[in-house]
Amino acid sequence: MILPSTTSPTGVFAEVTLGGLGVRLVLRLTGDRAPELHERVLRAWDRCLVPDGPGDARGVVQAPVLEVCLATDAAELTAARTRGAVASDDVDDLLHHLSPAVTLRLIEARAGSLMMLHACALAHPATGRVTVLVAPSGTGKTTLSRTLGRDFGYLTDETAGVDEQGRLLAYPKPLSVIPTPGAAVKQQVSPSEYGLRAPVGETRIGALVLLERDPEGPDAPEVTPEATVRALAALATQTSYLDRIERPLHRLAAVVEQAGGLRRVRYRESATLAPLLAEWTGSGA
Amino acid sequence: MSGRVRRTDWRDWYVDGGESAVMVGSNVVVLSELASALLEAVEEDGWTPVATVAAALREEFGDPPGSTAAAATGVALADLAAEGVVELD
Repeated sequence: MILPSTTSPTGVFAEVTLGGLGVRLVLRLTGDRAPELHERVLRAWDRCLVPDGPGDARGVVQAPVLEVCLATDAAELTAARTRGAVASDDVDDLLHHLSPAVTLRLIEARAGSLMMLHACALAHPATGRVTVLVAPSGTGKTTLSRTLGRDFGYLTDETAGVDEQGRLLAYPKPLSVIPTPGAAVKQQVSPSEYGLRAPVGETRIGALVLLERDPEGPDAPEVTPEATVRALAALATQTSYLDRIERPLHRLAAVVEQAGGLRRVRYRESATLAPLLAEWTGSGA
Repeated sequence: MSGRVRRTDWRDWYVDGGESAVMVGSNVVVLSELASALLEAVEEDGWTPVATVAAALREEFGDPPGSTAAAATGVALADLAAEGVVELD
């Protein structure tokens, strides 16, 4: 997982291996401030760190190495960017840009093989059955994860990967949180720092929800079942690389059926969804 | 009724009950029961006379109130062509 803790002749301070969506991704940390970067990456990405040694089943596909450079020298940063690195002279800014870069590497590596939905995913602590809560960016997935992830196992607040057997492949990335209203740089906070629960055992899809957060919405969430054909159209815009999958609509329909159908949920407060998740995924295995 | 129609190169077509969904490029189009039946009447490969499609629709649904199957077929085909599901000649 972690290679030499001193700067090597090639300028690589350390390599950190992350796992998510069944992919292994090596981050190559460079720059004169790489030790600081190293410490921050280990902290923020703690749930995605892949342990050393054989037998780890989380990484089944290898993504291309991603260089991450924290440096004070402008020329060094320019050179790093030329090499394709994510680079900055500010560690918070760098982590802010690292998160989508990692996500992109992972989903590119699974394009055509994994059904990937823009969703947060939370597992029932007893059954391992997962509620996949689909929503566009900026509409409350991270808030939901923070609120409900203390009681349900946190798998992701970004991309839920479902394989052909209905298993959820976790991507427990740091939560991207706006520190103050209007801030351009989001803080990357480990799910552990928020006290989010880790899923236990095998996780399988148990419910599939299309979220609509409405500040003027009802006290209790409104739940409306959606016919499969209409579910396909609604979900297609919230997938990654759907067109790369063989018979994509049939594969997406299979996910919908595995989840017992798509439910549209209009809600106001994320905490009010907890009883529904418990009801949908609390029984069966 | 003149003209002919053929299917475009979809990624996938999923039918469930009477309705269906077609993926054209990265776009998914939901088809009504009538549009789904119309598409079923278009041959998988090659051109199909529009009159043949209209006849298939009349047999399944009859003439719509105040109109004819041929006219309804023309309107529905134009809608499908606008969505990129079929091509008209």
